[in-house]
Amino acid sequence: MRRSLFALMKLSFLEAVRRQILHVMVLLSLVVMAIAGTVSFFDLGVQVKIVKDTGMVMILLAGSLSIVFLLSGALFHDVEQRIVYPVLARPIPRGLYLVARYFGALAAVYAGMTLMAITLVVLLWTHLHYISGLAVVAIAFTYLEVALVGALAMLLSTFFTPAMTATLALFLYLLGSLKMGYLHHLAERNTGFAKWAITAVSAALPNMEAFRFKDALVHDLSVPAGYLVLVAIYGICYLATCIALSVWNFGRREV
Amino acid sequence: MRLTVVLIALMTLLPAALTNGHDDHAHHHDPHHWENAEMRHDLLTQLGGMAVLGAVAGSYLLVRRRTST
Amino acid sequence: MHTLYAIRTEQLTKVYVSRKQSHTAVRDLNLHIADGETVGFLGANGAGKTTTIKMLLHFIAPTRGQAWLYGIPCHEPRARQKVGYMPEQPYFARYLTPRELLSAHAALAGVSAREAKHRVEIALELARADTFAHRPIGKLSKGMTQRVALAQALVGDPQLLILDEPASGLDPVSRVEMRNVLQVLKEQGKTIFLSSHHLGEVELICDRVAIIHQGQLLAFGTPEELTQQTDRYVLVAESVTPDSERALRSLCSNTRRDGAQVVAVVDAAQVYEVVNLLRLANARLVRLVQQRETLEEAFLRIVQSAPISTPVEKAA
Repeated sequence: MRRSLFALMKLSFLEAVRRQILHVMVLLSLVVMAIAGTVSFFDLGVQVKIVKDTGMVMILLAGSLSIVFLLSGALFHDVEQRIVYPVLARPIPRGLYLVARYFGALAAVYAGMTLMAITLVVLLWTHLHYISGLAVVAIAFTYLEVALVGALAMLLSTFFTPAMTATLALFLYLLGSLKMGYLHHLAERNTGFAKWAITAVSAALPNMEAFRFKDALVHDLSVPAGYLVLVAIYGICYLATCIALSVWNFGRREV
Repeated sequence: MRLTVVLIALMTLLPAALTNGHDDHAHHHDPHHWENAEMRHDLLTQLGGMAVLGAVAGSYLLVRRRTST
Repeated sequence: MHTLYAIRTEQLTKVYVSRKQSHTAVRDLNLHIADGETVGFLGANGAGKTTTIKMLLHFIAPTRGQAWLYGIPCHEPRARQKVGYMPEQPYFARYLTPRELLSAHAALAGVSAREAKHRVEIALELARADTFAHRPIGKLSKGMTQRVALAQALVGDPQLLILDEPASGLDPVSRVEMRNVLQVLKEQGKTIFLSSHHLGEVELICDRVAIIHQGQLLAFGTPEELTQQTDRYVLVAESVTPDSERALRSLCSNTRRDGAQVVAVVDAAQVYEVVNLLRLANARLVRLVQQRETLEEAFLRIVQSAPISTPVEKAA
């Protein structure tokens, strides 16, 4: 089973890593990061903050958008083009195909993100001559956030067409980012059914803000280790739930 | 076409990604999310929900396996 | 004694239900195919061939009934352990080379890493795809892609081959090559379940033939069992003078000369007249046998005489 998983992951990775969207996103982010790191308008303290801020935003944006675009159409394309048939005719559970598709695409996105992360680290090293542990933590949680967005896109892709999946995934991602700051206040301000509906949506949405430690990195603030563990567990559980639901839905679907 | 979609998405997400943290000004008003009790409560509540969902799904699968054998 | 069939279906039925109507794609299909048999699965477009194959491989779930591969229910992944499947109009990731694709499929088929390389080469060679195994699939012709698909089906050394229109879209030379490969596999004792439109090919290599029409199995048997004697006779004669041959041509619609012999197809009503003609001309009658239908004729007869059913019904 493990060999089958890796074989399928390799195919998924090879396909994703050749996609133009990934190249464009990585290149665009690297250019923005390079500009932020080399053009100096401010004193060193502000410059470093800008480098950290821009770097983290670009890694997150490029990673999230790439994974959404790669995964929102993957399943639909495979079924439409009948690529999926010879694979599903093998003695493997159907869910394995989905899991491999997800992790293969994620590995390709992570390769691009790693390139960006290395650029950020190099830029910080150039300015500061040291790297704080928080940079590693902040980047690691960005990786987890991207994995979570990908799992959400994968889940949606088992129900909807690629365009619908991409739109919904980005919309939910945005809502998830505004959950604490906006949705909770909105629920408080409303009554009756509206309050109930907003609370229900909010309860199901992933809390994206929890993965962002950019501010701690930019302002050199400390984050309690217990909180990091809680967020990590939360991220992994949410991701696993999304994958499990995807596997369940794809398993009952006719191809 | 595809590039347009990407750009629109970028423009949608960029403000969210940039503003969702706390800038220096906001720092004086709201605690950071790792200091926010409401945030911890939300994460723990969702974790509890997922645990319940997992337990229900696991029990269902277990029962189905037992009845099918 | 209980027989373990390679493929067994009992009352296998698939009904597609949309908002306004339901469509029965396959109705109460009972198939029993023994290990080592080569079975042709014939039917017009939309007859239910691909739907049946999809149910056997559990791409879709049956509405009613059940299917087993080597005694294992089709919904279990291990039922496909001995299966090699070649889809109709196969399509693979364009950037992969056939060798890369086959390596992945060898792993999926459960072939050990040590053995995989050897199996890949054997499959490529058997499907005659070894000469272009290093080129990206996107750059291959349709015929080449079909061979890659066959190699993909063979890489796990399956005992049961399910082939959906393997010769579809191939030129005559490639079709003959495909038939030769299937003949080799048949001689190796593989079970072959072959869905096809090319009746001549099916007749040449299949032990038994199943005819499906509007989702229903109309006939299942050997080509000899399905084809009937016609009311035509094939006559072969020697020492036929030009005058007698002219007379023969006027009586028989299909007369040709084959070297020293004259071959003619005679209607039953004219047999005595023709034989008398040859006797009077001192020609030698070599053979006179009743002609059998071709599989194509039998197929058309069976399908055309089938009761008209209504696979499309209004949904309840």
